Amino acid sequence: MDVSDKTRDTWILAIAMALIVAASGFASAYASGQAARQLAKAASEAPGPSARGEAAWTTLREGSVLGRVDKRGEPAAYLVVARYPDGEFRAAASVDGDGSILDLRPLGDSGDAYSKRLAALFSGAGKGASRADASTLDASLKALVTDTLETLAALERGRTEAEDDD
Amino acid sequence: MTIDDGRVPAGPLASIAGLAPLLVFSNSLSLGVALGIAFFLAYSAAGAMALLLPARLGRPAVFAFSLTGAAVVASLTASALRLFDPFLFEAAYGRVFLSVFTLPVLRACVMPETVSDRERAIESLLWGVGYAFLTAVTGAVRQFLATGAVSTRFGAEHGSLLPIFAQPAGAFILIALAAAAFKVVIKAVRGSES
Repeated sequence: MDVSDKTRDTWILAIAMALIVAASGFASAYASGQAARQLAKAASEAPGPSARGEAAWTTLREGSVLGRVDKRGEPAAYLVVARYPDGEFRAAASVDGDGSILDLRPLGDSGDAYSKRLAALFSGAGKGASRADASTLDASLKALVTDTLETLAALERGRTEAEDDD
Repeated sequence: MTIDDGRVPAGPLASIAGLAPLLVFSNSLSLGVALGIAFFLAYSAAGAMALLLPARLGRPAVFAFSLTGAAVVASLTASALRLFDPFLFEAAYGRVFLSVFTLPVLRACVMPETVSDRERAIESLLWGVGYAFLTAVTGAVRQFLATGAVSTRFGAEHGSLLPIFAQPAGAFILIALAAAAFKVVIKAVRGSES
């Protein structure tokens, strides 16, 4: 076996692998853009006041908050994906400057008791909302709801402060 | 249970143990199918590269290139999953890359030493199909035991039967039950032969 042949083969393979890795990176960037479009559409097309206009998506992945949809002249909407043992609850939450929920719109099928209860708890935590009735599920969901509300408040405060700095 | 005690073959049990990281995260049909496909593609890419790369590169280089190839394929699978269902991708993307570091994939990255090892490529591919199928079936069974139903739509799982099976502990309970059942079946088959 010639040592130079081995070195040449190794270099050819390394270059080919680098090209494949770069192609994979481009594929990942394309998929990211398409997914952002789908998620922004899902959040924007939910029934509610924020159904018009061009939306810009920002992926956040902070706790149960998947990302944010920004629309010109409208409150920011956050896409919430709260996971519990038997499934997950998806909703688009419009928030005001201090992170309080103005409006919550569940996305997709939310037919089970946990999803319905989470929708009630998140809606009940919004500004001007009446206190929801108590449920036996509240104890197991309280930590999830509290964490999500705190995350929303922190993210929205961060966003508004960044806007003010600009 | 003693593995490879002369009565129960060690290979399948060791492979199931090597798949445990994927089986632990496979707690619904959709997640199981996604992880199974990601595993199979990474496993096939690793095995094909280890088989087809020239032997003169040496075992360490072949292993490194095969593992890199498996990681690239896992990345492409994650991109395809992201296009197919962004919500499923968000739940699964970290676990898709975990498939590259499971025991069967790492073993597939090793260059076959003998001609007979090379001739067993089809057999290895069939084992890959079996492992992927096992991952998907584990997801479906755990979802059924946890919720009382199996849903093909991710995030649409409703109901509550034995919620522990949706937790990582549920995977280990299922693996233990499957291993015990496997041993009983093997013993019964060997007993009927003698």
